[in-house]
This record gives sequence, structure tokens and C-alpha cells, in this order.
Amino acid sequence: MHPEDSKAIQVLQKTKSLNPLVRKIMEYGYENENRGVNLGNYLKVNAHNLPKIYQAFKDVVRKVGIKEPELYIYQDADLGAYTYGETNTFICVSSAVVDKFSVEELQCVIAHECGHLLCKHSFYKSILRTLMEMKDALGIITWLAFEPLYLALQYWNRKSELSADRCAAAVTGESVFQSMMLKLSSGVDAQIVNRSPLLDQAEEYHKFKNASWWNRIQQNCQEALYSHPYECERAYEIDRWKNSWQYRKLRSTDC
Amino acid sequence: MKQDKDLVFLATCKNEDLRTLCDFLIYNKKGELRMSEQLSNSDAFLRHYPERMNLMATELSEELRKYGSNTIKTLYRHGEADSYETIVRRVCRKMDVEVSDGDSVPMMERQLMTEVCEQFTSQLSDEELHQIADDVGIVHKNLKRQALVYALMTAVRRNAMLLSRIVYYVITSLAEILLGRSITMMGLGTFGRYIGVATGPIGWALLAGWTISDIASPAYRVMIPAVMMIATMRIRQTALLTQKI
Repeated sequence: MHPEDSKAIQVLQKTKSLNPLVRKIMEYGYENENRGVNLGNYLKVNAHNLPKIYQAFKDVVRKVGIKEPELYIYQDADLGAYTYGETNTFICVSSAVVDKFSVEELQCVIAHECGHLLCKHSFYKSILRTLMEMKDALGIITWLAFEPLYLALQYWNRKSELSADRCAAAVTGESVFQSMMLKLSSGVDAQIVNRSPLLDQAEEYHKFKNASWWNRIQQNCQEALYSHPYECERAYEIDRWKNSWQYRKLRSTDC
Repeated sequence: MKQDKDLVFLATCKNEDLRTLCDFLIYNKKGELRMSEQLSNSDAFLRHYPERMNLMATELSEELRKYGSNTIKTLYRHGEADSYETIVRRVCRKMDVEVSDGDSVPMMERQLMTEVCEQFTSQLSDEELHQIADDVGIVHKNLKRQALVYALMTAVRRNAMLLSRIVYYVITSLAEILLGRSITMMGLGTFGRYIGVATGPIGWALLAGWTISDIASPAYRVMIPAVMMIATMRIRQTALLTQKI
């Protein structure tokens, strides 16, 4: 787990009173609802209809060491994937990911989603999702009452993505992760020769952000409402993490 | 931050000791990362933990000084935290260890650890006291417990190697309680078998007596074990150097 994710979860875990209620809402509410939507609209991947993809998926699940979730593919020209559940888990991947990514890159995306399941992020994402739906329905009332909690959860959400990125890099390797990130950010199939251009961009971004107090405030405010960190930040974090003993240990033990 | 002259020696310490110091700084009693720690996501930590800790000695000393200083004062001084000497004085004051204004850092650390060892020695059972006395060559046939404890305390104050052994053993027990793991006990010899003492009820009483868990300020819960660990490393280095000479 990324240290910032770990710390943010420690704070969120203090709201223990909500836990049993949210878990029940998840199991009988969102998980059930999503399963119906997935079965009704998307293609469930198995050993018969898409054997190559299914095998790649099984390899990742085995390495991550979680209970096998259901895998669905949905039709979308945008590159994306998501996961959900604590009891009945699933991963949905867009058709664009299946078409444009290589098998290793697809495995990287699946490993990222498995990382969320491994770190049990779904629980807090459910709270966040509930708040967002309330915001849409009740507008300013929710905004006034829950905005600090919403911002805190979004902060944690961004950090949780860094943990899931670590899982993806540990399973498929840092170079595959960087190539996946490059495609995700630009949509093009650019070749990485020595170093991902996102890493150079990350350095440029940090210089730009730290150039003045105003830049820092502006960028932090901009990022505060995002669910994911900037792509170059994600690439940069994994580039740093690849030097750590955790990464080396996980890569050597065929995690 | 300017380098602190009293922490320069950290770069020459044993890897395992530096790792324990790092763990004291970044993990709490439950094994979770401390909220205010800034080490675990630093480049130095990612590159060097846990096998090349001497290469992150500077980062360790900076983190320690940041913990021991008032945040607002540090911000006001443009990131320059209190010196290690100031921090040791603060810890000694908190632990009711008497030090004078003219005492150097090694002297204050020695005074602190001597008092810790004396507390530890007074908690041992009669059998264990006799065994330690045999090991250090104290004749104890007709000595009552109180006299034997006094004799051992005197030996601890005089014998740097004995002090370093007991100090190392105390810090190992502290690491077991705070980190849930033991640290390698190098050169402890016969004291190895006394592990059970300090990790059992006596050990808890010993450490509770030093208010590790009673201390109100979260910073002291980090600083006291960290200062004790650094003191242990310095005492041990000095004792080994003296032995070689």
C-alpha cells in the first residue's frame, strides 16, 4: 500500500460507526444492483468466449492472491476500467482497453483493479459514491453539510490509486506500467525508448507547480476534485517506487 | 537543514540499528505508519531501506530533529529544526534525569541510559542478579539483594562494556514491545538469555515506569525511544573503540 493511502485510511477508519450500515448497503444495494447491470449489458469473460483474455486475467488474479472476481467487458471508445465489491467482486474493462492495449498492458489494467480489491478500497469508494449521488440529488444542501468529508474522501481516493498502481507495477513490471500509462494519457501507441516521456513531463510539472505559492494553490485546488492523480504523477510515483526493496521483493517472488 | 554534529556518527552505525531507529520514527505501537512521518515516501527511504540504512543517515537525523521540534518554530526558522542537543535535554527533563547545562550530548545520553539500566537491574529476580554478578565477576555469596543491586549499578557506571550490553538489551526489549520484532543482539553474550524478563510483565512495568505509554505528548512517544536508540548506538561504539584500544 502507498504510505499516503495507508495514512488516509487510518483517518477514515475512525468513522467506525458507519461501517456495518455501509457494508449492508454495499452487499444488498450496490453489489446486487451492479451485478444485474453487468449481467444485463456487458460481456462476461470466461474460458469459452475469450480464452486468451480469461487466461491472462486468471494469471493476474493468481499473482495478486485474491478471490477471483467476475470479469466483464463493456463497449466504450474511452480507455477505462473499474471494479467494485467486497463480497461479490467484479472488474469491468472497456472494449477500447481490450483493443488498444497489448496482453501485458491489459494485465496491468486488471492488476490495477485487483489492487483496489486487495486493499479493500471498495468500502470507502461506496461512501464516496453515495455522497456524490446525494450531491446530485440534493445539490447545495449536501454540499454545505458534507463537502469537507467529500474532499477528504477524494483525497484518499487519489492516494488509493497510487496503491493500485503499485499492485499493477508489481504484477506486470514497471516498464509495462509506464507503457500503459502513456497510452492512457495520450491514447497513442508511442514507443518508449529509454524513459517514458511522462517522467520528463512529471519533472516539468513539479518545477511549474513549485515555481510559486499561487501555482501550488491553483494546482492543489484543481486536483482536489479529481478522483485520480495526474497521469504524470502516477508514472513518477512508480518510477520512484521501482527502486524500493518492496518492488524488488514482489518482482522476485512472482507475486 | 544543517547537519547536526552529534548525529554525524549515524552514518557509521550498524544497518540493523539504523533500521530500528527508522522504524521507531515511522511506525506506531500498532505497526501503522505515523500520520506526521515524512520518511516512508522519500526518495532516500525508497532507495535504501532496509539494506543500506547508512546512506540515509542524513534523512534519519532530519526526521528525528523535526519530530523533536516545535513545528511552528521550525517553519519560522525556514525549516531549521532544533539541534539534537536541545532534544536530548528535553527528553532528559521529561524522564527526570538530571543533567547540567555544561553536559555534552554523549554525557547526557550516558546519564539517561545509566538510569534506565539501573531501573532495569533493580527489576531483575534474585537468580538473574546472581547470574549477572557471576558474569561480571562480582562476589555475591553473602550479599543481600539491595547490596547486590548497588554493586551491579556501580559496575554499570564504571564498566562501559557492561553498560553497553545492558543498554543494548533494554533497547532490544523496547523494540520488541514497540515494533513487535526483535533486533539483532550483537556482542551481548550471556545477556541473551534474559530476554524473557523485559518482554514479560517486568518489562512492561519497567517501560511503564518510564511512562512510554503514559506520556501525553505523541512527540515524546517517538522521541524517547529514538533518543534511547541513538544513545545505545553511541555507547556501544565508544565501548567497542575503548576495547580495541
